[in-house]
Amino acid sequence: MVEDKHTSGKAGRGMFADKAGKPLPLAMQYDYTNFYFGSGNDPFDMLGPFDEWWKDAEPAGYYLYGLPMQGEPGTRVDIRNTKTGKIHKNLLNFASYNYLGLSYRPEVKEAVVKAVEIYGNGASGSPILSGSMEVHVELSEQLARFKNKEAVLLFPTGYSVNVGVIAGLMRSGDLIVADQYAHASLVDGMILSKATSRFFRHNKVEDLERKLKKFTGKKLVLVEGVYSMDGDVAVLPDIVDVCKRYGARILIDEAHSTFIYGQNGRGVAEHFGLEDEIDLHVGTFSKSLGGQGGFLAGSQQLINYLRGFSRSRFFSCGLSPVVTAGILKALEIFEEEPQLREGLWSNVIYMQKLLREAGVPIGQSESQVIPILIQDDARIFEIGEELLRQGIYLNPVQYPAVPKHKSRFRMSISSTHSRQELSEGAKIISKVLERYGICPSQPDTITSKRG
Amino acid sequence: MSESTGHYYFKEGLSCLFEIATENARQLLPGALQPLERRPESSVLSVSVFDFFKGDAGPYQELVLSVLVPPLVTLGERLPKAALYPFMVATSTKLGRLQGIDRWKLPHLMKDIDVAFTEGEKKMHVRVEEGGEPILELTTTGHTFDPTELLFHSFMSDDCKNFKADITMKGASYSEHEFEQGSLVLFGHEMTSGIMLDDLPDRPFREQWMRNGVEIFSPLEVL
Repeated sequence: MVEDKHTSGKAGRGMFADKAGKPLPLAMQYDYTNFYFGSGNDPFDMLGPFDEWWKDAEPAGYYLYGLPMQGEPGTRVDIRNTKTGKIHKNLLNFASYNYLGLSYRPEVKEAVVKAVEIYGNGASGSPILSGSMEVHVELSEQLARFKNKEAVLLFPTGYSVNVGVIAGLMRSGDLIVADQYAHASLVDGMILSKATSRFFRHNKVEDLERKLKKFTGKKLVLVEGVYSMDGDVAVLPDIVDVCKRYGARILIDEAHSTFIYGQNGRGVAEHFGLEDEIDLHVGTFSKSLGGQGGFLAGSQQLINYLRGFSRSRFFSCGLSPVVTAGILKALEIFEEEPQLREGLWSNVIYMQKLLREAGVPIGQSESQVIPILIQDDARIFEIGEELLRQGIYLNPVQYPAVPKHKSRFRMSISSTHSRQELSEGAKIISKVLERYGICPSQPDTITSKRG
Repeated sequence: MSESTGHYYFKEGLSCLFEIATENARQLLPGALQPLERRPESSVLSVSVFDFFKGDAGPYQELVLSVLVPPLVTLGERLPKAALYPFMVATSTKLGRLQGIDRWKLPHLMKDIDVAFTEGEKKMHVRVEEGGEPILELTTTGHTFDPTELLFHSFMSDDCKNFKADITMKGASYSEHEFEQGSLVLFGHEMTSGIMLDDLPDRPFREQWMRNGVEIFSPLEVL
């Protein structure tokens, strides 16, 4: 009886059952969104209910997040399974966004070692005080030259770029409109700015126009070059057109597209020939350059202003000079070796073809970010565990990070993946998905016994 | 069964969620409640339509407009799927309306509505009118249908008290997805007068469709 369940207290308090009527574990019934708000007057009141859920949720699949890697993020990695304690050896790594394999290049490591001899470990100060070192200045200048912009401002993380730039520029009473799939750092920048925040449907320019045309005053539009969960690209020409008509400034976050898109690798804005139409160019060092931190590129006036008003930079310690030296070397290698980018694109085309031919649903991806769409929210972790056992390291993504029934694995392709690794990966993935009814039947069997 | 527990059996129960400006959502809520924000400055409007065929108020159709609010989550209690504050309800019969007002303290449109359900392939279209004047047209689409049982917290208020009721929705088949395939047209009407129609999206971000289900109200708790 429903009434009985209703008053049954905490034990077995789940409500959801599978098709056979078997109750689903709490982990599958709830998610983080259930624990955002709670009753009571103590902020810790939510910890108990959350912990009760987490005890079920972690072993049921949430442990798959943040498994400790035993070495560099190469194409093959060893991962410690925190549930079993086992080290999964030599997994095919499709989870790291080390797109050009630059994080562990010997020249980069050498530059890092050399920098630590000169500078020590940290910057030991805010970049506006004592935390600016010669290596930071050099990286800023090299990046400005590369991006073909007047100046660049370095930030300690990619997240802090967006938060600092948006909140540094926009004020209460202004309007910010973001694509609905904008990264959390863009959204948090909106919140921090206290400007009026609106969202437009993903890549739907008519909806953007609807939001812009009703507002008079300062307007900023936020988009990404390549969207990190779907791997699709901003419809930049249309977005620029609308923004120009309504006098809105544009910020493009090219975290996943700088060093990949465009003739010179400057990003999606360069790809579309719209670099001069975009006002704020954001990029990160943690993806293609295999480092950490981020940057804003733009006019000298813009950088001068935000140097004083980007609080996330102003009140953070400067980027580690060691990491900065590694990034500088990675940038140098990137510019000297265009074959890295060519190799990446060749791999992307190859892998997308293999996956599509095998019937693996990968959505509208046009890039090195390839979503493997599972859509069965209840089984994403189960499939994740099976992939791990079969020798594949991939991170599951589920609601609320993506919409309901749009759960997926986010695959990242690197230029360092060999054709053999890509073929093996595609074969294992399609075979596992076939077992779950997500892929059509495939000939041949799984070849890897790793993991 | 407790006398104050209400059972309402329905053939169709549709519920679509839309983003609504928080500023607007606050206007629809009593001062004691805050809207739940999906994104900064963006709260959630729920538009629900039911086709009840039997129950405590007999057969009738119902339109419920609600704003989602934070649920009351406490250790040892069942976790609700969501919590809502129905700010306007309309029914097709007087009995349905009186029961909603007297028993569940729900604010109602004091006129009968006409609800027309039209089923298509994996979708249901609903048109709601009052005295020939359109109120809304809603289309909900289905994904996979599975049996389910969901708990909601519903908050109500009258002139001097605030109440909470647990609502259990149990259905033989239930679909929930975020494929943005449904649609909504809201017309200017007394029922929708508190909503900034220009700001409301025409597509729900989430669509919920329950068939052959029962809605069970627990006794009202005074807060």
